Amino acid sequence: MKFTVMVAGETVDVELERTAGEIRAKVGDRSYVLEARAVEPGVFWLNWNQRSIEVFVTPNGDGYSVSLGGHRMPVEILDARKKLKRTKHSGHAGAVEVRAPLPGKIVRVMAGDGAEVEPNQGIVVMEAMKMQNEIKSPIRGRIQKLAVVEGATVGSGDLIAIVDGSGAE
Amino acid sequence: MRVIRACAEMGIATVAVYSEADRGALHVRMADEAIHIGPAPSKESYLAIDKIIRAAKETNADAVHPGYGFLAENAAFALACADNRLTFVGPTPKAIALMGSKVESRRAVARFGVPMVPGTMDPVESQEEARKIAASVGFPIMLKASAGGGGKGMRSVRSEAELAEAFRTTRAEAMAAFGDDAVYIEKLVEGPRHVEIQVLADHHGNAIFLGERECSIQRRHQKVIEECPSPVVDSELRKRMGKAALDVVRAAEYTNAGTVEFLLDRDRQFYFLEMNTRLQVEHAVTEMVTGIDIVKEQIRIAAGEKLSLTSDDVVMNGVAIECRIYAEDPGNNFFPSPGTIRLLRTPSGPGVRDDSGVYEGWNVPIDYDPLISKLVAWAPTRGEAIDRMQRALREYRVEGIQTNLEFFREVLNDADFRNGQFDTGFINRWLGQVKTNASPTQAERDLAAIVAVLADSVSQKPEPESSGVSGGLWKLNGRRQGLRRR
Repeated sequence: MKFTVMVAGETVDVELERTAGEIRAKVGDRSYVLEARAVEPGVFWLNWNQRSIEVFVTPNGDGYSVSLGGHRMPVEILDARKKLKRTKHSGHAGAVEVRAPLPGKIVRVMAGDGAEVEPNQGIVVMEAMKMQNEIKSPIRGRIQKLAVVEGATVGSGDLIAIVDGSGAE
Repeated sequence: MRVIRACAEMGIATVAVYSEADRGALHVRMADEAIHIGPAPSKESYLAIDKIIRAAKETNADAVHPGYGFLAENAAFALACADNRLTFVGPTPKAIALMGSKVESRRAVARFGVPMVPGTMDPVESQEEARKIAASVGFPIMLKASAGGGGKGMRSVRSEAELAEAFRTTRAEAMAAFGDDAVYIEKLVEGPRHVEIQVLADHHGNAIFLGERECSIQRRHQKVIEECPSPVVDSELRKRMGKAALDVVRAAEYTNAGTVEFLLDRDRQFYFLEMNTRLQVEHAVTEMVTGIDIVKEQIRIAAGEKLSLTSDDVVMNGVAIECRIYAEDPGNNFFPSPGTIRLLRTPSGPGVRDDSGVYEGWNVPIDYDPLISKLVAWAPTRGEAIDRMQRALREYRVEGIQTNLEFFREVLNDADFRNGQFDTGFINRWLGQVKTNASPTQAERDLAAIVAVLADSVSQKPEPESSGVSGGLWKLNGRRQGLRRR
């Protein structure tokens, strides 16, 4: 079976073939032969080249959060419909919504409507759980819409800003 | 949880109180009885004295253990317990109130000759007065809110030029945070370590100390790693600090368990900071090294029993280290990361103690401090204790939310930490260093993709027992689907 998989932002083709006790996989142009077993809920055990590897898989949004070797990666299986959506999305040149990770209060606006922002540049300062933290832009772009004002109370998942990345790149 | 465990071992039945957010929390499940006391905001539940007193009376409780948060250092609560003929497992309201005031506590212990950082004891009223005092003790200085604590309401001032502005903002912040703008001045001790002494005092005039704890590893003035003993305190210094701590106990006419906090400078001079009139989060490291169950001692003292030991009977054996495991994201400025724990595996094995408050499927609420566990490792030597902690941190798996586990793994690898060479500024400097975050290898990325496909193919199929893949997958899928619907 063939799949298209996005691992930490990069897309690869994965081909899997199951035989007795073994999995043969092709990821991009790399080949793997391994043993795999779901040993506990959310835990897979792999034997790859005599290396005993534990992998932790938990659902995360549309995909999974996969941890192994001290790294945690977002992984998403793209079916035909999702692939189309992804392409269309990037075709629209990435207007990205920035949302509040938890309820809190906007104490300061750092980048208003129309402001140019770099990746990881703060858009607002939010106070939550007695701590102040910057809510950052994930991409380079322009603030297309700032949805909050100073002093506003926001709930978890509320829209803070839309960053338009179309002018960038 | 900690208190429930001690009670269970002593044959005492327990009642847990809980807010809306803690419905189904681990400590509530473990208690014999449970009383719902209100909505998630702590003001309307865990800080509502009348509601907690009512819960105690309703269940015919004899005593109230306040834990180490919320009302644990609240004199009004201790008084309310006394008024309602409930034994408060802690010091008297008077001792709590006295030690709760920075100014009053300093005045009280000064009479017993306990060393203190040079500075004022009284609130500083004006800019001019502040300037005079600062000049007499010498810069750098600290401005501190009298009603502050836990690292809140204090600010360092390095020169006279900064003083006016700093004085104004510290007062304003103190007013906003504590409703009291009293501020005092202390000389700033450079390169200080935070070393505290655990004390126990009964109602018969006996008081003992259980060695020290090294708590210099702090982030934003909040302790994150604690150890017992301190790598720089020898038995001679321990005795001197212990004696000073017992002087503080006498000054406050203190009873029950408490902690006397000191600053220790580079020349091994120590200065009284404050006294915490409750059980401390980090008490477990002292328990592991001394073998004394502090919570049981608290209960015995509250019941009027005499201490069965003297300070000389306390034997320090080995080294214990504690890491405070938080639901927070070190990659995003330690922003809280509440949410559902999708997968939890806790470490065990020799010398490991995990005082956890969560379970798989538990939703870490956004309403409170996101501390999920206190992980303690004990070993005969400090080096072995660090290695053991590293092993326990590697065993620890939490999925679904972010945690600071990886942060601890890196800090414990730091050469200065391993050598015991650090002060309270360690974490700040450490965070400022450029770190090369190892990214996953190509093989790790590929294996992640393969496993995701395996997990996904399982979750897509509707019927169990119809594939060549091992049966565990179906259970996995069922569980995961269940979680997803939550």
